[in-house]
Amino acid sequence: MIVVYRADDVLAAVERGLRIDFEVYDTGSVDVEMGAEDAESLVFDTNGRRDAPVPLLGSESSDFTFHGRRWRIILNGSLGGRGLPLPAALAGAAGLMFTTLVSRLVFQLATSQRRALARGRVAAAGDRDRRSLERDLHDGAQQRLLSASLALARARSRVSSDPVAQELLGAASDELSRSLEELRELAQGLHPAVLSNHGLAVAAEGLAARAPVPVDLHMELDGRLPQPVEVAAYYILCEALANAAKHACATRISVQVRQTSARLTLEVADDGVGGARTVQGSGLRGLADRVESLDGRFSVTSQRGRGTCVRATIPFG
Amino acid sequence: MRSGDDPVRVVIAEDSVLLREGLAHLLGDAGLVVVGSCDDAPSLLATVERTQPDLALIDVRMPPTHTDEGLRAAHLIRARWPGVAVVVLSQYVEVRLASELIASGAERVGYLLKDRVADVAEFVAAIRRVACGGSSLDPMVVSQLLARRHDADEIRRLTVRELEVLGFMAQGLSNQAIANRLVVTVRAVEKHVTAIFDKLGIAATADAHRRVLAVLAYLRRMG
Repeated sequence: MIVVYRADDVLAAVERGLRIDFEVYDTGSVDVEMGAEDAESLVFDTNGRRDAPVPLLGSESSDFTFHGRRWRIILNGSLGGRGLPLPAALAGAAGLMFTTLVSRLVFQLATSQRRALARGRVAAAGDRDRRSLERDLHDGAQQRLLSASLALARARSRVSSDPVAQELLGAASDELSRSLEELRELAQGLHPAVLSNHGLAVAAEGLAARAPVPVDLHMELDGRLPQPVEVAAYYILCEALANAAKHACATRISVQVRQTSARLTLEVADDGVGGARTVQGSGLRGLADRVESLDGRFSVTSQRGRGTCVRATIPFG
Repeated sequence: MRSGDDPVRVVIAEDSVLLREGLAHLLGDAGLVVVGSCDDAPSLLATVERTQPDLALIDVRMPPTHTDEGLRAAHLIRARWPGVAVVVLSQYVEVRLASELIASGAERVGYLLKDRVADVAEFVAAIRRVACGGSSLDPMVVSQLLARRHDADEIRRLTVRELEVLGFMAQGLSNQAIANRLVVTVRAVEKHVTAIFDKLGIAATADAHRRVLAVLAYLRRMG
């Protein structure tokens, strides 16, 4: 098909409110949506660079291979926000102008996916380390401290005639109890043993029950899921519940955990102040990496004054 | 089944030698008799079958997988030898796991955070209570149950003191034990208990073993 177009037509159309929304998919793992603002600034950024063409002459969707993976691009053009379809030639022109940036974008996506994958591997390795550290703590320090406090208790019962010794041993016991408590919390923070032993449903119930804000928990789970999926879901719940209580000042949190044939979906919505951001280095960013490294999707919707909703979909199997 | 004033016969299942010995000494000092010690689930089951103890004290995490062998063994013991009381010690306590453990009845069962053994007096009291047919649920499980129902209208009608008493009842404490904890008279506790049963609409029963079931059944009913 030969499409005739002039760049001026496109620019004129942009002035009249040309809007091109496009989505780029690879095997279904990443979903990029851009608003008109982004699209326009990208249109003007394409001058003369068409080095990696994507066949997109007016067609609405196209599959292509890039960096060893299959991708699909879908373009939706409209004029003036009224949903009018673009004239074919104009669509073709816009499509071609997008060629370069799409390839650039795809390249960025591929790169960021590789990075996310790498970060996911780092996270998984970290999980293993933390798990073995937790086991070391449990088998070592925790057991020793516990048997030390038993010995102290026995000693205490044998010096009942000496009030000073009683008091000293009592104080030592209290100190030991506090150390044990701190150690238990530390071990729990390192690795949630309840999750690996009993799965997401039991662990999630516990999180909901211990949350400082009332949680409506709805779960449709059928047995155990692969460990990385359970771990990611658990940490998302932890972080989202903690954020809702700490930063969002929520008074009610709703949690939905649903397992379908091949994916786990998770939604944590609160009635708090909103305005959360997934900035670099924040807990949410790390969670997004985890989910992306599992080929899942992660999103945070948080408009000021309208609460926060954290959603994740993680495929498995 | 134990009778009269015979000493309580206990089997301990705990894979840490240090702790196993500590527990044995502790229970021995308190006048209980340790009739067997084991370090994994299969030997626990064999020992229970052989010695028919009053009570098995079981650590959840034991070889080979160090996950929940002990909990599974506790379920087996309850099903196979209903006369043997079990007290499960765990590094974490969860409502769901507690519910599963008492699903077949709250008699002769305990579920405690492992750290609780450090408070010797209370721990020994809990062991005795369970050996005598009672129950002992960790305070953390009870507080989670209460938190789940905290906005139920009936629960909101309780006073702070009544909530406290309700928590102790759910843990399995008798009126006398609750009175000791709160440093009040048994008579005062009885009054609170009556008020609680009135407000929650639970049929009153003086038997601590029976009422723990009633209270737990109430708390587990999801709001």
